[in-house]
Amino acid sequence: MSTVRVLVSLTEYEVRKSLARKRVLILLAVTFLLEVGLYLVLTRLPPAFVNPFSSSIWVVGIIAPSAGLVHVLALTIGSATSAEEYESGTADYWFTRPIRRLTYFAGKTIGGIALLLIFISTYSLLSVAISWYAFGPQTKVELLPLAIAVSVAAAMPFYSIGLLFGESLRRSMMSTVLSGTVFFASALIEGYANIAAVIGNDPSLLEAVKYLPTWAAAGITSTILLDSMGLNFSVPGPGFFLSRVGAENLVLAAANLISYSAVPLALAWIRFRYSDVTKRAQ
Amino acid sequence: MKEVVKVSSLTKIYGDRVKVGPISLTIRENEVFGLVGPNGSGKTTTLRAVLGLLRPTSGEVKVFGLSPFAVPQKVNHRIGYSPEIPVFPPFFSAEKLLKTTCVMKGITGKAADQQVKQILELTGLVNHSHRKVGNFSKGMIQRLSIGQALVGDPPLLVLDEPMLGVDPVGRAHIRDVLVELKKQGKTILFSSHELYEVERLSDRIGMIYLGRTVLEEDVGKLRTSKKAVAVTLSRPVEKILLSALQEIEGVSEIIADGTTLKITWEGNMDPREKIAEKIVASGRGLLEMRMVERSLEDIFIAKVKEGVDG
Repeated sequence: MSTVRVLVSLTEYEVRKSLARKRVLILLAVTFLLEVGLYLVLTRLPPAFVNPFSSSIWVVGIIAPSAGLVHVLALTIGSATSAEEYESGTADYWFTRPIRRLTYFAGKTIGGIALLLIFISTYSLLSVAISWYAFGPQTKVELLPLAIAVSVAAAMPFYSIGLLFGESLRRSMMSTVLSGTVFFASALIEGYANIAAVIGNDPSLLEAVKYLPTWAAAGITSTILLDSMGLNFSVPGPGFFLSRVGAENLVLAAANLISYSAVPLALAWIRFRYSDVTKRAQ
Repeated sequence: MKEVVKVSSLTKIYGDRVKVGPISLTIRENEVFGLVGPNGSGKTTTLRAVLGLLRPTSGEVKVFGLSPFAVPQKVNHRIGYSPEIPVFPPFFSAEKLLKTTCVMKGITGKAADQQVKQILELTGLVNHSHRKVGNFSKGMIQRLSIGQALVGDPPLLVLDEPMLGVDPVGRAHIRDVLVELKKQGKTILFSSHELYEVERLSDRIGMIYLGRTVLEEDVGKLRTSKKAVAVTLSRPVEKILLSALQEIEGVSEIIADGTTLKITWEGNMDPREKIAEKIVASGRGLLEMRMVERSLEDIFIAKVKEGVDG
């Protein structure tokens, strides 16, 4: 019971701490503005283009951020989860409490994921609300919990990568930059590989990109949602140019997500468990 | 008396090969132990090792006979810690911070409410309990820091520079709190630059200089182990007089400044009569001679000098 209370306290603290950060608030504002902007553009498109899928248009507002912005937010939150405690000096407070390090690590990690869940749920509900208001009744809204769950799972790899950099470097900004570099580099490589695969007619490149961290993270939400909705077009992830898009091999996509989430998380834990608690950055 | 903290030959090598140690200290039950030393001498390293935050490169740390690295939870249950620069989540109120600390120590419900109330009263923060910590002054943060260290009524308090950056009024309040805690029988290990405060509050002190323990002694004994007189002359001191005074048996240190002298001696022999004779014979004119108590600062400076000379 005591461990549960401690976990709840740490989770609550992590959510509040993240919401108090300017970087996170800016990203949240940008995402919500993009949501509104996206639907504004869709209402301006010719009816002939929108009408065939207007009753399912709520999925667009969920798929669009999951291709990029959610990962940037996830890595920003992950980078600060641990690093900011060392930077600000609050690490001393937590590590001199009689709590297990595993409880602390779990509480903080769950807090970050909880924030992602709140954020994804909010913009997903916003998508449904705007779609209903602008395009009339929406179908298969019962898929919303699945959409949210998949989006959170898709955001996990870059949350974990951010957490690993944050715990290793103990500097939140540097960790955000490095994990952001991993994200953008992976997305670019994926894009270039897709183009090269089509131009050079080399399917092995398409196979190779499936091992990049962005492949499943940026593509799985669109694949699952569009398949579930029975829509036969793809909304692209970063590697969409001239190629088939999305993480169509779901087993491999799940393995990719689990690997890129679990391995950085485990490494972050090992680093955290066996290293000194450094003093506040002066 | 039982040993609460035992630090044996602790050394710590940081990544850039900065070495601290060997440091050895023993803190006994119910005593107030002041840890003094200049910046970078190893005070904070020692305290962080006691708290299990910093794993020593070699040596051993025991708190209540337990290793803070092997059983950190058990040890942390019995320690209250206030860091050198206390930082708390700025969006927490004082009450929320103390309640969260209670949860971390396994105290909930009415017991937690009561404890939070008592601590707010003791630290004089009752009227600020709902204020965000981010809006607190330095003195209030220090008091809150000591307050959160008291959650769970731990028998050992580790306070790193509890007076740092606090104005005289805040300092007086913190001093009162520490005196009250001392009366309650807490074992307090604290570090400070403020030698005057250490002298006032401590039963024993440990001096760390250049990463080594140079002294561990009872404050009362330390002050009486050496005696000194302050002498005022009518004319400035000359080298011949200094040499003559230095020859007197027992005299260990002479500090001359214009027409004043501070002469320290060790042992049971009282050399004041001989000092007076030598001064009169030198024709420098003896205006005044009075006993002075050696302050911790004098002792500290002497030890530092010994360290430099050694």
